[in-house]
Amino acid sequence: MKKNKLSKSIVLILTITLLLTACSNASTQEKITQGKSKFIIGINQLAEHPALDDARRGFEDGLKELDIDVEINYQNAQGDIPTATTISQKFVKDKVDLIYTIATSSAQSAKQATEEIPILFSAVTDPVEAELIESMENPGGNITGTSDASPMDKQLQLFKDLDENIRKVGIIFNTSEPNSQVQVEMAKELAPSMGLEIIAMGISNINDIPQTVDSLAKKVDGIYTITDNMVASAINVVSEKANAKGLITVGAEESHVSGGILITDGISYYELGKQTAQMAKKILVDGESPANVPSETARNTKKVFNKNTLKALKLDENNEIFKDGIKITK
Amino acid sequence: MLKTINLSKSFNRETDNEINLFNNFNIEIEKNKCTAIIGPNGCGKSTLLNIIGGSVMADEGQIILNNRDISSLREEERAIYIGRVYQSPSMGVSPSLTILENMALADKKGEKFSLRPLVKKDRIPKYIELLKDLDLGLENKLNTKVKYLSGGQRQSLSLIMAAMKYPELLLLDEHTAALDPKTSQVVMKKTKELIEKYKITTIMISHNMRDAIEYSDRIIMLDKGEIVLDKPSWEITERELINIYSEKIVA
Amino acid sequence: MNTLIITSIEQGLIFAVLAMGVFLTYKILDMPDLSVEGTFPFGAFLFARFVSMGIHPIISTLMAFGFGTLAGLCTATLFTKLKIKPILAGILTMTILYSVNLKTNGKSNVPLFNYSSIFHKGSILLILIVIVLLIKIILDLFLKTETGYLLIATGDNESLVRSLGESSNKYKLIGLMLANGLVALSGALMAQYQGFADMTMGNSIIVVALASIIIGDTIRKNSQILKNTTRVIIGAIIYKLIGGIAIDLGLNPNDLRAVNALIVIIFISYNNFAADFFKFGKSKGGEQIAKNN
Repeated sequence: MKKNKLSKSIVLILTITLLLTACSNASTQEKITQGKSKFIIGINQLAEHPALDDARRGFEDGLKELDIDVEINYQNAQGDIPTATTISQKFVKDKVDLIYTIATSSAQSAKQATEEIPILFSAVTDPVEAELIESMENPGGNITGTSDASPMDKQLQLFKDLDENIRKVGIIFNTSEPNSQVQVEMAKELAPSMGLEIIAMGISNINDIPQTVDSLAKKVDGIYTITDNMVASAINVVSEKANAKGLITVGAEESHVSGGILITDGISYYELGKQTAQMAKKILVDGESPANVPSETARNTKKVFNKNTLKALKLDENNEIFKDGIKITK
Repeated sequence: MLKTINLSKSFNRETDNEINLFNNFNIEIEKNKCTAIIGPNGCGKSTLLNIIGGSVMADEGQIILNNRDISSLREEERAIYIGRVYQSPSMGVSPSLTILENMALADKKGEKFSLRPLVKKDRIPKYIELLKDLDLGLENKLNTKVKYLSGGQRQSLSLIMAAMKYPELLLLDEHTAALDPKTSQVVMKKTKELIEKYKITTIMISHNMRDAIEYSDRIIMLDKGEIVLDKPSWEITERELINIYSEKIVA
Repeated sequence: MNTLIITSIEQGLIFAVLAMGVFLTYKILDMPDLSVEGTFPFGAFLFARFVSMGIHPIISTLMAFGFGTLAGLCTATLFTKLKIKPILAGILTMTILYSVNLKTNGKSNVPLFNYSSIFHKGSILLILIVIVLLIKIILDLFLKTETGYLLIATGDNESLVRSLGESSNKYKLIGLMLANGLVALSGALMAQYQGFADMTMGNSIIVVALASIIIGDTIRKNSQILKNTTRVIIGAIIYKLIGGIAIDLGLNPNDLRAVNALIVIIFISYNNFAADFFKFGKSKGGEQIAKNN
């Protein structure tokens, strides 16, 4: 008797799945019959993540602001590279007008999938290193986009502005993320000329963060949080421990400050997405080839600081540094 | 012929539970005959078999098999000379392989394993002949996976596999204890036929005194690592064995 | 729909190599080897290194296989010489490989766009079919040799192996090396397929391998060990086809993984019940006897 019940429910599930298939196939049909007035854009986002989500929303909102008529097919690879590959191939098969990829692996999978369909990337720190483009000025292919490389010199300078005596700055990074390695190297290059020394500790697992922060905190005067997916996921842990030890913290992104980091003069992924939307206009509406659209870094930076952290560190709010910054109380 | 010289074995040394099981133990097993070793639990019969077979190392002493000192050889190194059938029907065979494949494996016992195909067509008649001896119809089931055989069938197969290459010594470790009485008798009969036909020197451990008398040539009884009885099996009856048990041992 | 099917089959074929490797350790040797998460990217990074040194992609791929066997050697050594339990030994190898992978190229992501691959000339699908068939045939032949059978026996019953005069540790070593070589080979193929090698390639790869094996298991359970390799290959392809369907359904992207799992569950349970329907009386009897023992 039990078997029969299970078999019945299985048939039921199968039927529901088939119905869903029918539904979405119907909507696909609609897209095709609409005609070419709409641009079809496939979004290949690597993973669920606030920064990446912001890059997507900024892009979509940007397109709306620019009054471009688009049909968006959003797919998320859930952190799985083979899935990202399949998504890119699907977009090629669907003959979309543009592929928008968010994060490095998605961009690389799109490049592998097509040399004709224009590709825009965002949330890639070093697109030249990832071999997506030849150079920022002359991408030279069917790919261009925006890099989330943060204005590190501005940010490291904040350490000195806040406390002249800061010498050693600690960085935690995920050794699996290529973008992180790039940033650590960049920081190490910039630091000496600013009178700073970088102490970097790599992790491979998010569970290592608490102990690593503790260990790092003993050796440094301040902590700099780079653009790193793993660090971003655990930013609260990092900021809590740093604040407890009275360490000054500077972040690369606004989301870090929301998570408790003291201050940033950095990029907003949302704005970066909008910036990318402008490039989309050039390609889709103005008919430019991606090879001729230079890749960009964030045009504007925003200074944002966390009031609660400021209080916890017993700093003076009236300090000039905080004057033109946006306050967050979280 | 098998001989042990001053075998010593202790367990749990240097603890409160230290047991000196064998102390300068000497035994001689006759060639081409079946010797049964019986005794109460803990008397050392399984341990003795394990020491001879190599799965347990003695603390001191030597084991000589046909004038060859095998004391320092590892278990797998002794396999060329010794065949063994365990109590569990699953221990002597590879259940996921077929009867034919198991026979082919046993055919290479003690030899070098290469990258040549295992099953050799020209050996199959030999396997069939051996299996026929068992009268179980296994020769018609060459392609049946061993896991589908009954316990008795598997033990019979284990027996053939252990004896196929005419080992110098065959160790039977209560090999019918896990079978039902009827099957047990069938396997014991087949065992006796086999070792008589190929004249294999055999040591058989049994809990069943009647089987020990009926199917062996000589009975040795152990108690606490010492020989308390050593007689040809036709000189003793089951009754006498039971008496000795209650007198010397249980007392 | 056509192109998506081809893509899924292509990825399925690449993962089939992975699954065959894992099959060797999990099913045949009965020794779970968790190092595959490290060995898969290991193969990819090795390939990247060799091809960047100017070595022909085919040779580079073969070398990835060769060096990949070292991962198996590592696990086997930890297990046999240091007496560390197999599962832990595998995890330790995986941990060591993490650092090794980073060191092979000095970075965690290596683009391969500027290098040739084995897919350079010709249809990717065809080349993959040829590769997988070749591997399958070689593996099947190997499992029919004296050594191959001892590998199977080692997983079945170690005391039998000893009673045949062989050391079971030796065959565990052979099995682990062969398995890891195949996993590394699969990683090298994937790197060439997707265009880059990346540290995150190995994440949850064990799930893909096991799912492929399990799905393959549910297909027509009757036959001998030989056909097992075929079923593993089919299982991998079906698993990827299911994934492809899930993406193509165009459902909410957040539901992708759940739907994937759901379809796998449906497939497996359907197969289990269909099998029950069509079982013949004969085999049932044999199984009952086996159950009694």
